[in-house]
Parts: sequence; structure tokens; C-alpha cells
Amino acid sequence: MEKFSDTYEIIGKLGEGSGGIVYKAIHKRLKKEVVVKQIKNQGMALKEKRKEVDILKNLNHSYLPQVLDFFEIGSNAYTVMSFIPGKSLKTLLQEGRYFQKKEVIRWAMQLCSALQYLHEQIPPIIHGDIKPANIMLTPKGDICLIDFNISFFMNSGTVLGYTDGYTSPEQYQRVRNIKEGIRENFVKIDERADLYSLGATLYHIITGEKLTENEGKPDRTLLNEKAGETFASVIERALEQDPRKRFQSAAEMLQALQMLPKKDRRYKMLLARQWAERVIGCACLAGCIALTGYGVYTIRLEKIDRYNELVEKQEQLIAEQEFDKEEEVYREAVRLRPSSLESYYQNACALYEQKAYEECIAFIDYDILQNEKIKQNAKRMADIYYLKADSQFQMEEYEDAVETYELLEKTGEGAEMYYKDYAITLAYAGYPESAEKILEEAMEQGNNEDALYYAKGEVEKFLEEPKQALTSFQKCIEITKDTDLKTRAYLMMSELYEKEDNREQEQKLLKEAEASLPLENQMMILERLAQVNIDLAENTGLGKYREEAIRNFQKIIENGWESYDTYNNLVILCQKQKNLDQAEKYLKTMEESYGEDYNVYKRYAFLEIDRQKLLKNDARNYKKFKEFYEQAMELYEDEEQKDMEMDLLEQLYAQAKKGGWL
Amino acid sequence: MGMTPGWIMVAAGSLGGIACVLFLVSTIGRFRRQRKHLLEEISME
Repeated sequence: MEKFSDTYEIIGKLGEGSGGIVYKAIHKRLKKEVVVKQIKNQGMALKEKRKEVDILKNLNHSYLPQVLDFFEIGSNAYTVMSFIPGKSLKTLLQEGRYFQKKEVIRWAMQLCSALQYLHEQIPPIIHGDIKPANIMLTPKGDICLIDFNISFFMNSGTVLGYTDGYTSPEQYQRVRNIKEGIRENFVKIDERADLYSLGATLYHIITGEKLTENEGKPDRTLLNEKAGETFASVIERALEQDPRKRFQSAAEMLQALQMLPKKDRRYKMLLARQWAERVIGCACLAGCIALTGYGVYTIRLEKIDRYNELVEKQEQLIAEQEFDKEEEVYREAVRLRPSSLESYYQNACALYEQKAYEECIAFIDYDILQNEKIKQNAKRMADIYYLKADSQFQMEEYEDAVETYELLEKTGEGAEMYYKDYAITLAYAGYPESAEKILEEAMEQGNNEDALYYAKGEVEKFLEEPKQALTSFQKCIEITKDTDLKTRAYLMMSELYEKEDNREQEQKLLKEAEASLPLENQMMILERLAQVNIDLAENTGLGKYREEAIRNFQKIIENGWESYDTYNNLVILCQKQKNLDQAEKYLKTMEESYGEDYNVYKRYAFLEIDRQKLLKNDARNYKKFKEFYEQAMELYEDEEQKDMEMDLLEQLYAQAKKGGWL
Repeated sequence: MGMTPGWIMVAAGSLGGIACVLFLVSTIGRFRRQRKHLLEEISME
């Protein structure tokens, strides 16, 4: 068995602690400095002590000395540990050394790390005597926790002593109980006792004052001043009298120390500022997303508004007969909302208004009915089917029109509005019974009677039942409040009377219409009445009819409804009434409004002949007549249609020439 | 249709949103550096 002296050589005495004398020695072979510590016999068997040292020998931590060996010499036992160079914190305190907060915090973390290591052993190792004297400051600036001679195990329950100012209250209480012979009432000592001692040690080295100088309670003001608020709070918590209020483990205290910078007010303010910036950033982002979303929604609405404006424009251009512009607007509208039906419908109406029935039908078939993009709307589809059916009717495709009306009925919308036209179409297609049936059904359902009487009249007119037709139209006129319908009924009756060659009755009817209809509905009535008066004048030779016709045409001019034919007729009528000056005035207006054409010069020529006829032979001069004739002939050469009056004029010219007038 | 209020809102919202995203992304590194710098500063005191 190797002797102590064979291995180690004592070179000096380091001190005397509670455990015994402490020597500095050298390992002879390794040439390494060691610390030899005598262990006092404290009631533990040497065998048990060896067992304890064996456990300590396996400990390996940066801030704990290495336990190297165990010796028994006589009745004494010695542990050999690695020598830690440097001075203890106690020595440094006594030398008046001042410790900076940051280095104290660093040492505190190192001590916590060491304690965590010890406490996590199985069984846990409690140091039991942490104090400045047991903390070495190495030349590297790190600490080392020494002196394990008071260490004990959790389940041993033995306390060997205490150091005033650093020992935990529960440790102190146990010592007192044992000394006073008080039966142990189990004051639990655990790793929290070490944390108290650590707290007390940190308090001392940071403030320069031991705790006992203030009855064990820390001077908060002094501590805050020296350690700062956050570090002071850690030390205070470690120094709680009640172990339940302290840190529950070295790891927890270590974490608190690591978090110290993060507890600094400036750091908290920085976190708060960064959080606020992020919240503001996120709020702005949310706002931008909301703005974008609202913008998308607004664009949709704007598109719809713009589309509706274009559709209104289409309607307006159709009313103004500007069909080329209407088509441009239609194309723009369809580009904007290709799935909406309105613009397509308006364009179909435009084609219908232009009487381009074939194009209207083709447009409806290919651009609307076969267009998958369009969202079909039942009501508007009914209108579109009506346009198609009416276009087919106008083109005399009655069977196709009937089929289209059947499709219209299937939409379930607006069929009651189109009953009369459906009935008329059925009649024209050769289904008079079906037509009558439709009208009867419509009347039973309480649909507009006036329109149905009108439709009945149309059907009877087509079936060449003039008396029944006249009765139906008359009924319509009597009950309707719709002036457009009334106007059409009057015109239909006028046609029937014309067919019967009953022009006086027709004239009477049209005069009644002129008296009963509002001015805006009188244009066609006046035109027809003027024609009736002209025909009556031709048939009877009576000038009064011509005067009436002239009044009719003048009323047309007064209301701005005049056309080329209006003036042409007036010239002829005035000429026949021998009112040559008035006829010439109308001719001049005609020329100014509609430009030169052969007809104007033809009329001038006829007028000139009438003027010359009023003169005596020797006063006559047909020079002007010749001029007018030649101008008329020159312009007539370009005309394709034959005009009998030009032949007559030619004859008159030949006569005048033969007669030597030219 | 031209630059209508709707398009202005979409443009402003989109640009603003991109700017916000870039700002938030920039905070990842920038804030981390700020915290690290301040912790170092506090530790050195």
C-alpha cells in the first residue's frame, strides 16, 4: 500500500478550516500542486467517508476543484484536491478590493452553474458552506467553489455547522435545535439553502457589507444602488427567508441571471418599441390589404357604372338614329362586361330600328343565344326573343316567328306584354284559331284589354274581316288611355277605309284623330289626312280639299316634321290652287333645304308655264321656262328612275319650240 | 377606363402593402442586431 509520503510532499500550510488543517503539497511524480485537507472525525465512519470522497472524486466541473485522492493516516483521513491558484474573495474583500457589477454577475452565473451540477447529482450534493472564503478567484478571472468538507447528501439529514451571515435560516434553525437538544421537528434543508448562502455572498461582495450587520435582512436601498434594480431583485429573491419564495433551483437562478440584461429597462423599452413598430407595420399592411380589397371592389362598381353609362348612351344614340356611333359604344360596353346582356340587347334594338331585320336575327342567334359568356336574364331574354320574333314577322317568316314566340313563352317573363303580337303572328302564319285562343286567354287573365282589342283588330284585318276589324279597333280607341296605341288603331282604321275606298269616312276619322290625339302623336295622322284630302281633291275636283291638304302640310311644317315630300306636295297643291307665288316660295325653301335636283327645276318649269299662261300671247316669254327645262334635263340624265312628268315637260318644250316661243 | 379612384386605391394599397412587407422583413435582422447590441452594451456596464 502506497504511503502518503511516497506520493505527496507537504510544502506548506494553507490554513485551518471547519473541517481541519489544510496543507499545500506537491504530487512527487506529477509535479503538480495539490491541496491536502484533513477531515475531522464528525461521527462518520471512515468507510462512509471514503465512500463520500469516492463520489466527490467523480465530479468534474470547470468551477469546482478536482478531488484526486483519499488517505487514512492513523485515525485521521485526508482528501487530496487540485490546488486552485489565486485568492479567495474574502481575502480580496479584506484587501479592500472593489468588484464591478458585471464581474460579480459573471461569477454568480459560474457559481450557479457549479451548484446546478452538484444539485443534479444522484443523490444531490449540497455544499452547505458557501461564503466568500470558499470562493477562489483564479488568475484567469474565473471563480472556483472550494471546501466541500461540510457537504452532505439530501438523505443524510446531518448538518455540521454554519457561518454567520451566509447560512440559510433553516440551516441555522436546525443547528439551534440540535444544540438546544430540541427534538428534530424536521426542518428541511435542501439545495435552496445553498442558494441563500450564494445570495448572501453576492450581497456581501457587491455592497461590501455582511448580512449580519442588518439582522439578516438586506439593505434594499444600498443593494439597489450598488447592484442595480434587476440584479438586486435576483439577490433579494435568493435571500428570502422562506425557501418557498426563493429560486427553487440553481438552474432557475442561473436563468434569472442570464436574463438580467433582458430585464433592463432600456432593453424592455427597446422590445416595446420594436413590438410597436411591428404592430404598426402589421396594421399598415392590414390597412393596405383592406385598401386594395376595397379598391378591387370599387373597380368592379366603377366598371358596372361605366357599363351602365354606355348602355344609356346606346339608348340615346338609338333614339337619335346615330347607329354607327351606337355600334362603337356597344363594342366598348361588351369589352368591359362581356357577360352582361344589356348591351347586346341594345345593339339588337339598334339593328331592329334600322329595319335591318336579317342582321338583327343573325346577331341574336350568334352573338347572344350561342354566346356562352352571357349570363342569361329571363326578363331580358323575353325582350330579345320578341325582337327576333318581330324581325322574323317583318321578313314574313311567320312560322319561324311563331317558334320564337313559343320560346318567349317558355322564359315565363313578359309573355303578357307580347300576347297581341303573338296572336297577330299566329294569324299571319295561318293559325287564326290559335290566335283567337291566345287573345281570349289573355283577356281571361285580365291582360290589357285595349292592346288585345287592337291585336284582335289586326287579326281580323289579316283575315279580311273589315267590319269586325273596324269594331275591334274602335273598341280599342274607346277604352285605351295609351295614345300610341290609339294612334295605331286610328291608322289601322284609316287603312281599312282606304281599302274600302271610303275616303270621306276616312277623312272624318282622321279629323277626329287629329282632334283627340296629343300633338306629338299627330304626325302620321296629318300626313295621312293630307293624302286623303289630295285624293278627295283629285276625285271630286273640289278646291276645298286642296286647301285642307295645304293646311295639313303647313301644320306639319310648323311642328318641324316636314320632309322633301311635304314641300313637293305643297308646291303642287299651291300650283293647282293657282297660288303661284306661294308655290314658288315653297320651291325656294325646298331648294335651300334639300339642294338642287331635277325635280325642283321641273317644278320651276311647270310653274313658269302656268305663269306665262296667265299672260297675253304677245307678252309671253318662255326664256325662263327654257332655262329651267334645260337644267332639269341635265340633272335628270343621272336619274335611273323614269319620271312621267319629265316626258310631259319634254312635250311642252317641244310644243313651245314648235310654236315659236323658243 | 383610365385612372379611376378604384385603380388609385389598388395601386396605393399594393405599393403600400409591398412597402409594409419589406419593412416587416427588414425588422427581422435589424431588430435582432439592435437587441444584441443593446444586450452587449448592458452586459459591458
